[in-house]
Amino acid sequence: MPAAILGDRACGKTTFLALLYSSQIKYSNDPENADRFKFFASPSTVNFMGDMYNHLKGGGWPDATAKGQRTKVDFLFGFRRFGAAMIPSWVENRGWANPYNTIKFSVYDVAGEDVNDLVRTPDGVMDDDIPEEIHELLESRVLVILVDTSRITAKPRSKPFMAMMDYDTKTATLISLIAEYNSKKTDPAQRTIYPVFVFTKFDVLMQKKKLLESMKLTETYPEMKEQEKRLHYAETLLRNFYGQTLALLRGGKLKNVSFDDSAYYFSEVGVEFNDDGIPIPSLHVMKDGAGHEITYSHPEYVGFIDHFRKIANKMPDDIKDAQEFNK
Amino acid sequence: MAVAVIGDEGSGKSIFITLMYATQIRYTAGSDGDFRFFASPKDLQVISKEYNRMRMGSWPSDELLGKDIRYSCGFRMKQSTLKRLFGSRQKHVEIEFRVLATSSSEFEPMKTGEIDDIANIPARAQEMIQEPIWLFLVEASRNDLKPWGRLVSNMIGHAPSKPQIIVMFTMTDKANTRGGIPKRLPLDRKVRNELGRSLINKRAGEVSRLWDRERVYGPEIFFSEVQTTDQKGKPVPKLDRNESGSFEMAYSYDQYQALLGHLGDIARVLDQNV
Repeated sequence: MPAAILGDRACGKTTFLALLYSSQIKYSNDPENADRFKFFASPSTVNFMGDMYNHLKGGGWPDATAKGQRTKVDFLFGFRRFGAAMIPSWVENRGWANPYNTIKFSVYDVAGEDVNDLVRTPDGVMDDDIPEEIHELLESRVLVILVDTSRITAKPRSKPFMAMMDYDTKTATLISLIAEYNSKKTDPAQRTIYPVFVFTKFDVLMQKKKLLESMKLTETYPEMKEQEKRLHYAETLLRNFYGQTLALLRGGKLKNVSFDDSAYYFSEVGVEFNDDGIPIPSLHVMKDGAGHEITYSHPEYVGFIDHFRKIANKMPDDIKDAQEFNK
Repeated sequence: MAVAVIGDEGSGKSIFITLMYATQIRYTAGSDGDFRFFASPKDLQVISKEYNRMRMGSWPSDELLGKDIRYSCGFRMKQSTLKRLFGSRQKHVEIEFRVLATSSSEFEPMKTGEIDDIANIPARAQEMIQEPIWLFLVEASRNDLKPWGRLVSNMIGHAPSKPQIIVMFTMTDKANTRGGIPKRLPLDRKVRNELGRSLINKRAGEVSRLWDRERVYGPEIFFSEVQTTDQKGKPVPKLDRNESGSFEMAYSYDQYQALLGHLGDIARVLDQNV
């Protein structure tokens, strides 16, 4: 099942990927998840994500990626299917049955130029000349939308306010494109898209206490177990600052495309100051004392991975593009 | 099912489209799925650009003019308790907004005298007459509405079926734009319609066809008011901090919300008739 990770430049995509990489390592190595979850990526992606994590650990932030300089990042999550235990091991070993539902993630820059180019094509989304990358994006069943919360501002007529609105427009346009594209499909399952919002750089928004207070929101987001409160928290942020995106997600139903089952996660990185007074990612000693790791919202990332298990079960994967998991 | 939006130059068509869009965004968030709207990527980009302009405190540009802009509004059908309890699939009725900017020249012949043959007016105007819902934007400060009255009369005379008529008076908070309309805009339907009716009769003369129950539904009256603030001596759209701490355009949201509600009622009735 294809999933797209969308975000514009400098929205925290690289940090998100680096932290997701670190989280999946821990998740995979947790005995509780042994054999229930697998991760696979090409050597270049592993190299990129690993390097970025080490870069953060070394006290640096990723540089903003310029157009055309982006490494293509694709990776797979595999979740053991319900009933996979019933498959005899000799059947599994010979690769005759795939015991995993797979989700293939691809990362996209939501650059204004790309969206504009697509909208300008004479037949819009039905154009045969759609570039392969955009075609993949339109076929995605899961949309992971990164929302840079550091840009959230209540100051109208300011540059950050304009940037925030601009991203809202781009995301809403993309959702409209995806809805139009998928509305032609006959299978209702193919017309269900799962949006996942990740609020990045949340540590910056947490500092804007007055702004959060005025929205009647607490400084920290509610924990995973408080699902209703989380929903309210996240939707309050979207409603106030990304209203077009939220409205278009709901409007997809009018094109017979459902985006209704949204999930929300929060990404934050602890910050400390180096000798020059510059903020850098903070480190803490690992539980087993075997080294240091970055302080970040690890439970949110675990929740993110777990969420995909639910989606994979809802929408079992028919595309056997992950032969790695059979081996 | 489409709404044709008709307004002379300067009647505030771009502002109306932008404020409708803003209202839909706010209304969607608070309607718990009862209301939804959708626009194609191309139309969305055009409207959204103007929406962002107004949210930055500027007037919309004239890029919307001359464009055929469409978007859909979906209103959830009311369901019986039994159907709800047994999980019957909830249905939305849709209404399409088709905004065709009408310049004076396009409708000019219809403003000056009775038109016998509809073929004598531009194709675009002919197209609009075919739509079941007509939304007229009228500048509140305009004292002489006689040409407008003739236009409406002519349109009704050539309508293929009984149209739903909506009149929206447009203004800002500046006294010279209000044409005597009180600061506190009436929200109650009866008061709203009485005020509008008296304004039309006073300024357009007796437009008998407009009040002919056999020929038209309505007219239903609404008021669009944009609050302004002075910037370098010029009025620009005012932004107000809302309850949640973010800034929004200051305009007559209640009126637009009532208009959406009215369109929902029309959509439900027309759907049942179909």
